[in-house]
Amino acid sequence: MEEEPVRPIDYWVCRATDRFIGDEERIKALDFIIESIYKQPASALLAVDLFSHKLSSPSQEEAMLTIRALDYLVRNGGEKVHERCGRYKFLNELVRLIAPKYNGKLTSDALKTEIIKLLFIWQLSIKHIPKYKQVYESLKLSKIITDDPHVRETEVPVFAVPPVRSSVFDNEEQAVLLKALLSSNRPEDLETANNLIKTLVETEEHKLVKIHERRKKLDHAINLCNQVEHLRLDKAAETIGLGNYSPDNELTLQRVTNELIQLQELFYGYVNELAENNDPCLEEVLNINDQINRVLPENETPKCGNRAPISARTQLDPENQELLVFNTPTSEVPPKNGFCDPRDLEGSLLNNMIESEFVEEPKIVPVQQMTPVLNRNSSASPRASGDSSIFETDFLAGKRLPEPLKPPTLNELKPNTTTITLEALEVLVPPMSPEPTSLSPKAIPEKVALNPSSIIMRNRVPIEVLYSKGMRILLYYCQSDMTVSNIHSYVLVIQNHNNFTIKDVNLSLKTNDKNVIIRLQDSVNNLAGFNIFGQQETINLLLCIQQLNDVKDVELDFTLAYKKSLESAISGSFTLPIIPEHIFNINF
Amino acid sequence: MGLIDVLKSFKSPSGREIRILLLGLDNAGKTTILKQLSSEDVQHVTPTKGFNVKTVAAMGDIRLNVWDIGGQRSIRPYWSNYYENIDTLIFVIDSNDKKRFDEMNIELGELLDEEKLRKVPVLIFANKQDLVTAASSEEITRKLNLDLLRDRTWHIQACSALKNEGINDGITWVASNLKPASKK
Repeated sequence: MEEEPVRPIDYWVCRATDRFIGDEERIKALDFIIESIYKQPASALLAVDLFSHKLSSPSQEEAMLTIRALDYLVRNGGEKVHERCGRYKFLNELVRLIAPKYNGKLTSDALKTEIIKLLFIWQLSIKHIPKYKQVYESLKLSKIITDDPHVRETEVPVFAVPPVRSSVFDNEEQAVLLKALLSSNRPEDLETANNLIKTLVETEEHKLVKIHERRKKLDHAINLCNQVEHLRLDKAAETIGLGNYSPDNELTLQRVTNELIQLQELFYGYVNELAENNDPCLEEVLNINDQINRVLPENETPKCGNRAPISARTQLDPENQELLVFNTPTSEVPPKNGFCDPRDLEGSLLNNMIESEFVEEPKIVPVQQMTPVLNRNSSASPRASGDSSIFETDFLAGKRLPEPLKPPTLNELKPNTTTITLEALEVLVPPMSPEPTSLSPKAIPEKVALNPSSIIMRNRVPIEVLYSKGMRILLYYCQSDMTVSNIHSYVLVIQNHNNFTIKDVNLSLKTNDKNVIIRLQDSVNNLAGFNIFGQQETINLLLCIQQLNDVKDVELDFTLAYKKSLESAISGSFTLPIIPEHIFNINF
Repeated sequence: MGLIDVLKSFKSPSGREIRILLLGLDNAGKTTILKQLSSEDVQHVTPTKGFNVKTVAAMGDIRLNVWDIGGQRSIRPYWSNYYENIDTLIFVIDSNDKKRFDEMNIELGELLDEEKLRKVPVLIFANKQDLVTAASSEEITRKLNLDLLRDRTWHIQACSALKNEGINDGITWVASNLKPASKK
């Protein structure tokens, strides 16, 4: 017994296929081999290779025992064994035993049946290594295997698929390019290949850094959840009269809760990425998110408590009511991708309002610059009828000029625009007859353009329209010079997260919804990718949507067309909730 | 002097270019070996991020084309881009890095499984023999199971790239054990 650990793998392979000892002894030898494999993964290579040699033994009995040993080894030996057996070098040895062209005629029918059965089972249970299926199907094609063997379901083991090693090296386009460069003898091409490899290696290392950072964030979130639970236990204990729960703990609880809310928003981004890559870590991230959700709902009471002081302060200080109208986000909030809990959204808005309130104090001067907006808002007030009439005159004067041109415009539009647009224009007729609606613009112009100086960004998390192939589109809520009660404005931001420039970027948008008219700024641009020295560029487009009837959502189809080395396009659709403009002025 | 004599012994028919692939784990000494072969200064060697390629000699019809590929884990997937038309594979081992002998074993095993490298002669440089704690070439032969290699010609050569010892002996073996051109 003491000598056993010193035995090399060869010894145990011989024992596992020795026909002169009992089954129990052979299983013991196999278990020892499996134990060695888990200690030293390299043992898997040696063991499989040695068994492979045993397969071609002149003794049919020894070969049969080898087949049984391999079956046991594959079931229990782990992924290293699967990889090693899944190579042509090994599989070809099995094929040699059953193919008439080789040793098929020398092999007994019983042994052939066992081999075919093994190949059938392996190609079913080890799907992530495609060579098993390839070999089995090629044997069927060449009639070496005529029928699938009869195998009970319990005989087919189920193996966990190892994590996908997604890598920039798997990019087929880059691989073809690299191969071509390396085949060339020109020094410039070799230099280009060298630079390409270095770039891709750095990209890969950057991925690793992101993975490590994600790991730290997840661990940090778990610690915070535990901290919240401990603080709550202390609080409950103090209620009973035990322990000493202090105001410091209350502040800590709020700080930790806020930090968890921020981490959760970060995790939604992770979920989006991991789901796209089908990463096994997705489950873990979702579990931690559930853990956060279990911790956060108990914080509802403090949130309700937070509302009273805000409303009280608002009533006490009328100036602050006006200041809230001109909120500007002080920091970028990551998109929530529809994972947002309505309560979290409410809390997030409340927190943003609290932060905005403090930030707005030094913005008294900017408020004065916003006087025209105040005038526009007060135009509906009867007290300012004089100003209102002046404003209306200017507004209507501007609108009257294009009116005489409308009939020929309609005629010109017919051959150029789609049926949808024509129907939409027809819907315009009824609203024109009621005079009270003359306060609103009758139609949005055919073309809209982004004027940054007239844009006021809404304090709202953007919608992520697209994030694929390194291309990202975000939709931000805003107020522009086009905005009135029935016309909403948004900014669509296109980002290129690749490390190469794309050309002729053009985004088009359309909808089948007859309740709205949409206008998207038309532009074709080049967009540089990421580089370590400069700032990230974006393409910003103005989107205006005129609401004809009361609708809550509008389904929009988009196409983002661009060129890189090859022509590319990405299409999709998303749902945009229509939010009445006055909600943004709720505290006005 | 010795290197020139070695190069003269190359029997390269009709100006055939001899492609040598230098592989191994990171920090094994591949780039240092390449620099010694081309008589360059070996005092400033940094980790190879991509690859180095040098034609060591150009005398008449003899051209020794040596490719030195980075050995870091993140670069190893690129090794497969260089397997075409290789005449000799040189696998460089850090004889002092015993903790990674298993990793060397796995990487070498996968190389020898490659269809494109089938029957390609393999020279193993057991490098860093100038260190007192380095494993001997006999020990490395055992650790890497080299005795089990039966499908090709192989040889292990102890060397110290830093001191330029043993490299010429290795190249001499390469010259006398080239992959037969007729089977190419």
